[in-house]
Amino acid sequence: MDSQRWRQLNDLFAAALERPAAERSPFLAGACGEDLGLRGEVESLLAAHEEAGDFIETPALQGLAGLEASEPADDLAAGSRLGPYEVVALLGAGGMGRVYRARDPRLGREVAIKVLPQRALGDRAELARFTREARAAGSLNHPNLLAVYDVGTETESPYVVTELLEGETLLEPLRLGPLTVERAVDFGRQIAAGLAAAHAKGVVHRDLKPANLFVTLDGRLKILDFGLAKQTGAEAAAPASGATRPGMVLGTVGYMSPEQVRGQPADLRSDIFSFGAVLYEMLSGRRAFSGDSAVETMNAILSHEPPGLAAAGCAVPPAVERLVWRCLRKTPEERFPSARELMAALEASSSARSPAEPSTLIAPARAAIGEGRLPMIAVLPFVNLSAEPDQDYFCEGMADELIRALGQLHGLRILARMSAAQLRTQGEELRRIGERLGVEKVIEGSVRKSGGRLRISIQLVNVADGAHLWSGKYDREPRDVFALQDEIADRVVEALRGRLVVSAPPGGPRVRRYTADLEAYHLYLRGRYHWNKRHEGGLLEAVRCFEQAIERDPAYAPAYAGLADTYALMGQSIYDLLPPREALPRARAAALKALEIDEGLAEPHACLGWIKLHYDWDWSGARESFERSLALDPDRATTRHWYSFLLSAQGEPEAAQREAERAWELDPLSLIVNANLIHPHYYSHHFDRAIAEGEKLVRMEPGFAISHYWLGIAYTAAGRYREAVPELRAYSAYGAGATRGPALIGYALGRAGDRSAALELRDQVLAAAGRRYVPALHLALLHIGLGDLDAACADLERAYAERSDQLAYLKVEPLLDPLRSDPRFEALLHRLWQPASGVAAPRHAPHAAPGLRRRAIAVLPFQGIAADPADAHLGLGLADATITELAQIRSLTVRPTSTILRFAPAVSDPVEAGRELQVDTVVEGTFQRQGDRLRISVRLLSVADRQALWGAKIDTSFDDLFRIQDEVSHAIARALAIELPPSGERPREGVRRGEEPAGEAYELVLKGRVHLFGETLEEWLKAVDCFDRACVLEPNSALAWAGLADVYSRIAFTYLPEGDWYARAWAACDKALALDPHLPEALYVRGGRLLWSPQAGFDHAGAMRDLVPAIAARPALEEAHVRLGSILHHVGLIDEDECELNEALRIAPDHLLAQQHQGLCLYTRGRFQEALDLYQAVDQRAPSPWVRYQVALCQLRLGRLDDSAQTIALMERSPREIMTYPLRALLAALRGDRAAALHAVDQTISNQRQVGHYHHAQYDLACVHALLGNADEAVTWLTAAARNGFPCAPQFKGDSFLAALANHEGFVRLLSELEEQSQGYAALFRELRAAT
Amino acid sequence: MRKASSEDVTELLQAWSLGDLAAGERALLLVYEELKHQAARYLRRERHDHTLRPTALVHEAYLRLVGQHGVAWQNRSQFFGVAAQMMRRVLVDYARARARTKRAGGWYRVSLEEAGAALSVVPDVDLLALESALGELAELDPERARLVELRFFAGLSIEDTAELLGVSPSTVTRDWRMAKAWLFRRLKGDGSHPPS
Repeated sequence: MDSQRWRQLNDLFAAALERPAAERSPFLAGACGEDLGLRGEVESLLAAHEEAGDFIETPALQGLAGLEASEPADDLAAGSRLGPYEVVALLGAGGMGRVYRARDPRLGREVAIKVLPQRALGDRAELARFTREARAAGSLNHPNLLAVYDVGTETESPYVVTELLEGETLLEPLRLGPLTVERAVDFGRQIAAGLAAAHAKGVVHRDLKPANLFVTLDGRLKILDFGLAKQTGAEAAAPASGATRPGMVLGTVGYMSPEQVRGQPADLRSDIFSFGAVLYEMLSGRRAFSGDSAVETMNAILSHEPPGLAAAGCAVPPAVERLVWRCLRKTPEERFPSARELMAALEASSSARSPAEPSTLIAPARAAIGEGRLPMIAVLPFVNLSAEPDQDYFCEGMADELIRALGQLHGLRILARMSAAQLRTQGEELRRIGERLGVEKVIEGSVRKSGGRLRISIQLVNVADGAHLWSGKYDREPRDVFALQDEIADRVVEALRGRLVVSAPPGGPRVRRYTADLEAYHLYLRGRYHWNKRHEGGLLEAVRCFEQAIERDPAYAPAYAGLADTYALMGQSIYDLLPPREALPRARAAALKALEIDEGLAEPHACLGWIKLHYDWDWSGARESFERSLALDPDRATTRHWYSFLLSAQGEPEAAQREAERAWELDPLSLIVNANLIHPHYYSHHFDRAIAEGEKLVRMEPGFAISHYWLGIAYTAAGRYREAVPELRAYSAYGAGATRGPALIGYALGRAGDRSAALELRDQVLAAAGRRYVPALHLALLHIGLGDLDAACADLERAYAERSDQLAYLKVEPLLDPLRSDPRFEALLHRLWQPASGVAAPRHAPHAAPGLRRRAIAVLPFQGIAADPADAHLGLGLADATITELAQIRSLTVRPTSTILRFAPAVSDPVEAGRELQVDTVVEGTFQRQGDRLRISVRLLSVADRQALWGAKIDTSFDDLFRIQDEVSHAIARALAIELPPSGERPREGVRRGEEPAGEAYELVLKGRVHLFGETLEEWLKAVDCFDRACVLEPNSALAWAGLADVYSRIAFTYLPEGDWYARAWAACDKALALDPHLPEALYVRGGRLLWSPQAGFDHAGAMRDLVPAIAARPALEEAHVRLGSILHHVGLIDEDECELNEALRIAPDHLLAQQHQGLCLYTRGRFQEALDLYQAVDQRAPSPWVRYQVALCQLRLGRLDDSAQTIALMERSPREIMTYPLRALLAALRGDRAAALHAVDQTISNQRQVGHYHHAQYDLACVHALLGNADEAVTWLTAAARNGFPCAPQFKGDSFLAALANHEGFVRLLSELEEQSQGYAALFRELRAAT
Repeated sequence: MRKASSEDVTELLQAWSLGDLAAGERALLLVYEELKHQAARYLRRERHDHTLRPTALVHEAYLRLVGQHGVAWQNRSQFFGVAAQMMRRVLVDYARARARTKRAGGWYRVSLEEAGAALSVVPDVDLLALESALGELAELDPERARLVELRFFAGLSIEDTAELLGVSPSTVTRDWRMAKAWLFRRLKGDGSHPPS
C-alpha cells in the first residue's frame, strides 16, 4: 500500500466515523466510486472499529498486572524472582498451584516453591489460616515430613518454600499395581511416623492421598503439604462442583474420611482414615473407595466397605488387614485413637508374615530381621486361682521371670510386664488384647495352690485366631520356684522355636540370679508389686518386703535397689510420707549399697539420678546418673520417665516429652508411665493438653491416685478450679497426698475466691502437722491461694531448708506463677539454678532500686479485626512500639518483643499467655484499619485474677502512632499506680528525632523490627527487605537505617561473616548515626561492630561508650546488655559481665546468647563442669560451631580428652571451621604428642582469618606452648591475644594451662599490665554509667 | 543493576539530539534498565501503588533519570518517546519470556483450557502478535505506530499524548481510532491481508 492510498484510507475512515452509522455506507459509496477495493478496506476497518471496543485501551502494563493477579502462578519464568528466591524451572502443576525448582541465593541452596493460586484462598481469614498452618507445618521437623522453610504471603499469591526432593509421588508406583507387603507396610510405617510427629504438634493433614506422599530416591517416604490441605478439602467437599470435576479431584475425594464428606470437622482421626485408604491401595493396587463420579465415591465412603483384601486375592497378613479395617471404620471413635498407636500396631503386625512369603519366615540370621520388625509376644500375668490373694504377687512374678527368660532369646520382642499386668485386670478378650498391644502371640497361664502343691498351666495362643499353639501343665512342689521357672521357660522357648524364628543362645536362657534364697526372692517380687501401686499403703508395704528380703539375704542387690526406689518415692511431696531429709538419705544409702554389690545394676543409678534431681538439685549429676542407668538398661521404662522429670525441671518440655513417650513405648499400659505423659505438658504450661491426657487416663483407670493428681493440678493451673477440686479429692481418697491433697484444694478454692474454705483447709493442714509430716511447700500453696505472698515466700524458704523435692520444679511449676516476679522468689530460683554461687554475687543491681518490687508486664501482639493478613505485622508492630515505650518506665520489667512473637498473630487466652510469660499483667489490644485511620482498643489485664485493670479505645491516624504509644503507656502507668519518671528523664529523642518516618515507611520499620526478632535467616532477609524499602521511601529515617544496620550485622555475625554484609551494616549504621548521633538502636549496633569486627580494631572503650548510653535510653534492649557483657568480659570485668547477663536474662529469660555467655563466665572462673553443662544444654537448643568449641574446651579442661576429641570431630564436619585447629593443638599437647601439637599450631596460623574470635585461637596457642614448655613462645602468643582484643586478665591469671609461666618475667609483666588496663576499663565503665 | 545517574542520561540525551548515536544507544539502555526494574516491581506487586497508571512509572523514570536537574523542556518529549519505546520492549520481552515458560510444559494447555484463555498476556491482547502487527504498521505509518507506543505502552492519555506530540487532542483521537481499528483487524486475522 503506497502512502497516498494509506492517507486516503485514513481520511475516508475518519470522515465516515464523523457521520452517523446509517449514513456511512452511502457516504463511502459516493466517495470511493469505482474503487471497490478501497471501499471494502474502509468498511472492514469501520467494522473493526465497532468491534474493537476496549482493545488496547488499557495500557499494557496494567493489563499485565491484572493478569498476574488473576493467574498469579502462571508465569514464573526461569530467572524470575519470587520474594528473595530465584526460579530455576517449573517442576509441576496441580489444582493447588505450581511447584518450581528455585534457588535461595542467600544460602546457595536449592529449594522447591509451591505457589498457590489466589483463588485457592478466598478471603483474608482463609489466608491467615493458611499462613498459620503453614507455619505450624514449618515447625515440624521429622524425616517423614516435608521440611517447610518459609512461607511468603507478601505477594499476591502466597507461596511455600520447602526442601527440594528427588523422587516421585506414590501415584507412580501405584500405577503399576499393588506394592509388596513389605514395601507397603514399610511405607505405611513411615507415613504413620510422620503423622504421629505432626499430630503431636496438633497439626492435622486432612488431605492424605498418594499425590501427597512422596517417595524419595533412597526410599524414604515424605508427607507433603501439611497444613495446606484444609482448603483443598473444603473445595473438594462441595459435592456440586465435585460431581463435574475430572479425575484429579476424584482422587482427592477417594481418600476423604466420612466426616470430611459430611463436611463435619476433621481431626487427626480423619488422617487415620485416609491413611487406611492409602494403605489399602498400596496393598491391593486398587482404590478403597471409587465410583463413576465424585458423588458416588463419596457415597461409597459413607456407606460401603471396600472388598476384603484376602478375599480379593491379596496375600496380606491378617494382622495387617485388621489394621487396615480399623483405620477405615466409619466412626472416628472406632479407629486408632492416634497415629502413635497406629504405628505401634503396624510395627507389630509387620512381623506377621504373609502366607505367600514363607521364605522370610525361616530366614535365620538375626541381622536379616530389621529393627522393630521382630515378632512381638506378650506374657500375661498368670491368674491366681488360689484362695489366698497374697499369691497375686507370685503370679506376677512368675510372668516376670518368664519375660526375663524369653528376653534372652534373639529375634523376639517382649512386651514389658506392667502393661500385660494392666491388661489382665481389665479382663479384655484375648484377641482384642493382642490387637491393642500389637502382639502376635500371647502366653497366658494360671497358678493354683492347693494342699501345698502348685499347679501351673500355660498356653501359647495365636492372637489372630485364638488358636492354642501349645500348652503345658506342671504340678510341682512350691519349694523350688526357680527350677520350675527355668523349666517352663525352656518349654515355651522350644514351643516357639518351632513356630517362630528364634535362636536361643547356647546354654539356654540365662537369668542372672541375685539370691539363692527363695523367700528373699518372693519378698522382692512382692515389694515391687506393692511399689508399683503408687500409693501410701503400697509404699509402706514395699519397704517392709524389701527390708525383709535384705534381712534374709544381706547381699541381695535388687532388694536394696527396690528399697532405694521406695524411699525415693516416700520423700516425694506427692506422697508426703516422710520429710525429704529422712527419706532421701536412706534412699541414697540403699542405692549405693546395691551398687556396691553390683555396679552393673541399672536401677540404683536411676534412683541416684532421682535423688540428685529432687534432693541435691544437682542437675548435671542427675543427668549423668540417668544416662549411666540407661546405658546399662535402655529399656527400663521407669528410668525413662524419671529422666523426663529432670528434663521438665530444666525447662525442656520437648525432650521431656520424648523421654516420657519412650517410657510409654516400653510400657504402654502402665498407669504410672501413662500418668507421667502429662507432666511435660503441665510444666510447659500447656494445660489443655495436660488436661486431655489426664482425662483420658482417669477414664482408663479411675482408681489411680496419681492420675487424679495430675489432672487436678492441671485444672487448677488452667483456672478451672471447680473441676479441679473433685480430682484433688480423689487423689487423696485413693491413698496419696494426705496433706498435699487438701493443700491443693485450698489453693484452688482460694484462687477461686472462696477464702473461708481455703482458710479452713489451711487450718486443717496445719492441724495435721502434729500427727504427720506436713511439707512447708503445702503451706506455701495454701498461702498463695489466700493471696498472702509474704507468707508463701517464707514457706518456700522453709521448703528450701527442708529440701523439698518440688523446688526442683521451681523454674516451671505453674502453681507458683503468682510468686514469679517477687524478688524473693527470683533470689531462690537463682540460688537453686546457680549452685556453688557466692562468687558471682552481683556487685550492683543495674536498674532496680533495692527493695522496690518491679512489676513484670507483657504486651501481647495486637489483633487485627477483619485485618489483611499482612497486617499481622502491624499487630506486632503496635505491640513492639508499646513495649519500647513502656520499657522506659524503670519500675516495670517489660518482656521484650522477641518473647511475644510466638503469640502472633492470635492470642487465644491473654491471661494464659501472661502466665506463660511469667508476668503479673498483660496488655492486649485490637486494631481496626480503615485506610489511614486506625481504631485501637487496649486492655490491661491482671494475670492473677483475670481482672481488667484498664481499657481504652483510641481513634487515630496511622501517622500518629506516637500518640498511641504515649497514651497507652501513660494510661498503663496510671493503672499500675507507677510514678512515671519526669518527662526529662525519658529519652525519647531516639524515636522522634530527625525526620519522622511517615506512614508507610514507619509501618515498614515496624514490620522490619518484627522480622528482626524472628531469629532465622529467612526472617532476617525479610527484615532487610522492609528496612530497605523504608530507607528508600524515607531516606532520612534514622530508625530505618539503624534497623538495616542491625539486621545486616546479625546476618554477618551469625551466617555470613565473609560477604560484604559487615560493610553494608557499618555503612547503614554510619548513615543512621549521621542522622541521629544518639539513636540507641544504632549505637548498640556500632557497639557490637567494635566487638565483632577485627577491622574496627577492638576498641573496647569505644564500644562501651556506645553501649552504656544505648542501655540507659533503652533498658529493655536485652541484646545491648549481652553485647556490653561480652565487652566487659573481654577486658576482664567478669562480675560486671555477669550483671549484664543477668539483666538480659531477666528481660528475656530464654535469651540464648546470654545463657551461652554465662558459660564463659563460669569457664573463666574455672567452673568447667557447670560451664560444660550449660554449653551442652545450649548446644541442644541451638547447635553452633562456637558453642561446640566451648564444649570441647571444657572437656579438655576437665581432662575428658576422648570426649573432647569427639566434639572436635563433630566440628570438623563443617570444613571451614577454623577453631578446630587450636583445639587439636591443645588436645595433642595434653596427650603429650608434641609433633601433632606443633603441626596443629601451624595449621592454626596458616588458616587464620580476620574474624572476631581469632584472639581466642591465639590464646589457645599460648596454652599449647605453655603446656609444651615453650614459655617464651607462650608469652608471645598471650601478648598477641591481649593486643588483639582479648586483654582478659582474670583468664590469664587463673589458667592452669599457663601454670608453667607463673614465674616467667614477661608473663608477670604482661599480667600486671593487663590488670592495670582492666582497672582503667572499670573506671571508665563507672564513669559512663554515672554520666547516664 | 547499575543505577543510572541523572547527569548521565541528561548528557547522553543532549549528545544524542546533537547526533551522537552511541550516546543515544547508551541512553536507551539506561532507560530500558530503569523501566524494566520498575515494571518488574510493579508486576511483582512490590509497590504499594500498584493501581497507578503505567504512565506514572514513566514519569517517575523521567524524574529519576532526567528531571532532578531541571533540564530543558524539549528533553521531556524526547525522553517520553524513548521511554515509550523502551517500555514496549520491556513488556514484549516479558511477554516473550512468559510464553516460553508456558510452552515448556505440557500441563499448560490443560490449565489454559480451564482458564478459557488463549496465549494472551493482556486480556484479549496477544502482546507478541500485537508486536509484529505494530512492526507492519510502523512500516506503513511510523507516526501511528509511535502513537500506539505512547498510548498503549507508556500509558499516556489522549491529552498528554497531544501535548507531547504538539497536536490537538482531536487529531490524536482520530489517529488513535484508525491505528486501533487497523491493529484489531490485523490481529483478528480476518482482514484482506496482507494488503496488496
